[in-house]
Amino acid sequence: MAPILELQDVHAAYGRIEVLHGVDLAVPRGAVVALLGPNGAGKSTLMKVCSGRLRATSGHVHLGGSHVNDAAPDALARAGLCMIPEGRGIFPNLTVAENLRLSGLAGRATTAQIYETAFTRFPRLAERYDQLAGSMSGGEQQMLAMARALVSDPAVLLVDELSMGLAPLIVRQLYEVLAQIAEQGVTVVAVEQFADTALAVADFAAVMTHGRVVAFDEPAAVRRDLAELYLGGATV
Amino acid sequence: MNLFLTYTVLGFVIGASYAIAASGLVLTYATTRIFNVAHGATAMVMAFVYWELAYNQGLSNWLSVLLVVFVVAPLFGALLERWVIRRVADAGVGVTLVVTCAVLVGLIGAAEKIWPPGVHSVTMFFAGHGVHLGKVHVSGNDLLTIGLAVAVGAVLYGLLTFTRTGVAMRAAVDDKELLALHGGRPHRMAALAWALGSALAALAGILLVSARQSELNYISLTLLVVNAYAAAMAGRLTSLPRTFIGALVLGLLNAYASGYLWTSNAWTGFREAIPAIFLLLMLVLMPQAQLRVGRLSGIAGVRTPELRRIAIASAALVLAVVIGNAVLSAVNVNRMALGLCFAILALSLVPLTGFSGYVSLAQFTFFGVGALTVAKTHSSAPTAVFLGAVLAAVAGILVALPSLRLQGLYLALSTIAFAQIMDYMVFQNPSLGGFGGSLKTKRLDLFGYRFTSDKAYALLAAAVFCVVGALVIGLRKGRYGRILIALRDSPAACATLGLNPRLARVAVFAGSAAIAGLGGGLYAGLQNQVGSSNFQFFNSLPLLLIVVCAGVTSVSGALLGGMLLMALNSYPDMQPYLFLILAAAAVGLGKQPNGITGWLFELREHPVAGRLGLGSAGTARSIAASAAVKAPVKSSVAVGENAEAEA
Repeated sequence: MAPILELQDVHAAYGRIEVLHGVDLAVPRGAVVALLGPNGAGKSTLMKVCSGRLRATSGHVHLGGSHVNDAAPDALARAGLCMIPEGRGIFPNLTVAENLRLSGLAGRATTAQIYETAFTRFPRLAERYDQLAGSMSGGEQQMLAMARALVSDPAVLLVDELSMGLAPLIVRQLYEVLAQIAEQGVTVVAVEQFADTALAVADFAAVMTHGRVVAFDEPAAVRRDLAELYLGGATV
Repeated sequence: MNLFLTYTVLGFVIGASYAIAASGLVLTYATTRIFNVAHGATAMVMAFVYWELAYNQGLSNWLSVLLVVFVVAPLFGALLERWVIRRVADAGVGVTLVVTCAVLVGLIGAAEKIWPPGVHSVTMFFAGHGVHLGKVHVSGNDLLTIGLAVAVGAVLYGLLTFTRTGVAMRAAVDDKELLALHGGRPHRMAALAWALGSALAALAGILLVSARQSELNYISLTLLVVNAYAAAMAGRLTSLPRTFIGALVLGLLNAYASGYLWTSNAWTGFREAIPAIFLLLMLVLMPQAQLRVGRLSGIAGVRTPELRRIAIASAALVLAVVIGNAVLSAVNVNRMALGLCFAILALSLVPLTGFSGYVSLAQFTFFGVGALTVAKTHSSAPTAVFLGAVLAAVAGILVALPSLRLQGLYLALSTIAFAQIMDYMVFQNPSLGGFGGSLKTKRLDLFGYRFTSDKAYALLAAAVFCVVGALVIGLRKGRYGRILIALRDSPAACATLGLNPRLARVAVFAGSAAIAGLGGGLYAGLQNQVGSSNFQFFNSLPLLLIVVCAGVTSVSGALLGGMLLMALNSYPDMQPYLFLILAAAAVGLGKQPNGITGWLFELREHPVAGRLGLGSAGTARSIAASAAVKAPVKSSVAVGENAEAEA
């Protein structure tokens, strides 16, 4: 099957400092891909390039067969790419309900449908309905961010560091939601520093070190070679 | 009772138009975090456009209102956002204030050009109609104003609360990038907010002029925005309902003040100052802001020159003045001296805005305190100028103390309020020691020498500028200068170091005001005659604009700024071109926070420019300095000595 998200020899830089030195990655349609790698490998930068927040200096990014190197983030979002950025992807000064309503900007869901989907999966959010999103706990904020992925019905979901700063129990819950979203046929790319949680739900795993994808394989194979890939990369 | 009712109705009507203006201000601020100083100027220009359509072109009143409010004003707002605001959206408060100041000054200039002073009067809507509340007649125009304010409030509240677009507009403030990831269009939201904001400004402007049936005036409508600031501040620039309440309270206060306060001079000043006092109170009573953790918003600051360079530059300036005295005509020598007085005033912004990052729009007020002291003492002794500087420093402390807790925009607004209060209650008020018209002044008498000629005076001003400039550089190089920079970069980090930010802040305000007061004293002597109109808060807008554009972080920038300000005042024909240059420079501030001089300094250090002979010992010195930094600790003393020898 043709990959839904494909990167060919992608280079990207912050000013004069190049961070991605030729990334090649093909994400099969409907797959869950865990993107692993040590600190500073370029995972978050890659996510920025995929979501249109950072322009690749060279190479090609294809989404659903279209060349999207120059597409703006909002255009990509409306085209069906949902990106949950690192940290909390929420608007702290808006209420939970208002945050949820904005989830409809990219999709076709009505406000009522959005509330129903989100509150069924996350009853906690229904309790916090009228509260400012910024006043919730980290886990609740991440639930709110995930609710967007749930209701906007994207073709591709990119998640950056879902587990950052959260308790293991909550991380497990969030990954269950991720798996549920994937079952609906959504292609998922999840960036993680802590491999085990992500590998448990992934169909494939990609490993990045030093601005390149150095391995792309079944989770079991990657898990076996992980230590060597990390350390091997680190000694270059 | 009837009188009370009359004034209450009047208060509601005034409050309603303030509410419309203020809600536009809140809308643009709440969605783009840029405070539009030019809001009142937009109202003024749109009122003129309305006059043009309805009274000059002969369209019907109603059609003209609709055209202005729904077509011209929104288009203007959207274009302004597209070409100006968007370019500075991520810059600091200083830059955004300066850019909207540029828009304000530009709008006034444009209005004066397009509609030269003359009779521009408009009539009321529904003239001759109205209702009676008991014995009080409420005109149709008043009812329209109140009705429109209610409608505007309801529509805006509905838009921001119930529609997805409105929620997205508010979301854009939190995180523009995230909104884009949601599929929203941040730029479109901002353009929409500015379009709506200027439509509301236009509506308020038209209602205000039609209610008064007075002539359109460039300045008074522009200044009405201070009332809108006050109302908007009641809602802390974000809450529409509180803004409306604030506007209403302010309107009623104004109406009762005009009805019940004594009519002596002193109280007239007080009445005029009510909005400014209200604004100051709102700012001071706001909940305490937390100490801000530093964030990198453009690195401002040029390298400070060594003593030798200061001496050479000072000598060069004095020489330039001597040559100027020899070749320029009498009028131009006077202008040069004026430019140097303004340069001293501009210098007062260097420690305050350049080093410490505080935006002040009260510098002309401090300047005025210095001038007033010299004028009132009617003395030619240097002690009068000195006393003026001291009194200005006291005024500086008065500004700094109530606003100790305020940051950025709120601090800038509190200086506006202070300047307005000083203008109405002191400068315009002979009974409180003000000018009351204009006062004659004497030239300075120093050690028996009387600076009666403009040529001598220009040299005196140049010498004072050099001395104060050297002191400012010395300040920057010393411990206190480091403290100011550190406080600007991260107040929170300074607090953890055990610094008392309040003391440093009060001191820098006092010092800056003293410099401005010194300049004002010299200015008063030069002009032979000064009046309150010379020192209105309004003058501080172009001052800030020009000095920040010229380079507020360096003494050379202050000199350039002073000369530009003089040019702006002395050559009215050049104004449009100057504003064009300034507007371009203001937009460029997003890239080069050190202004035109910063750009020139950079050019000089550019390899090619340096080879062309524009370079200096600076490059070599910076290499030596970096060598000293990189050297191991034990040999740093020796390397430091080498560096000095090389320099």
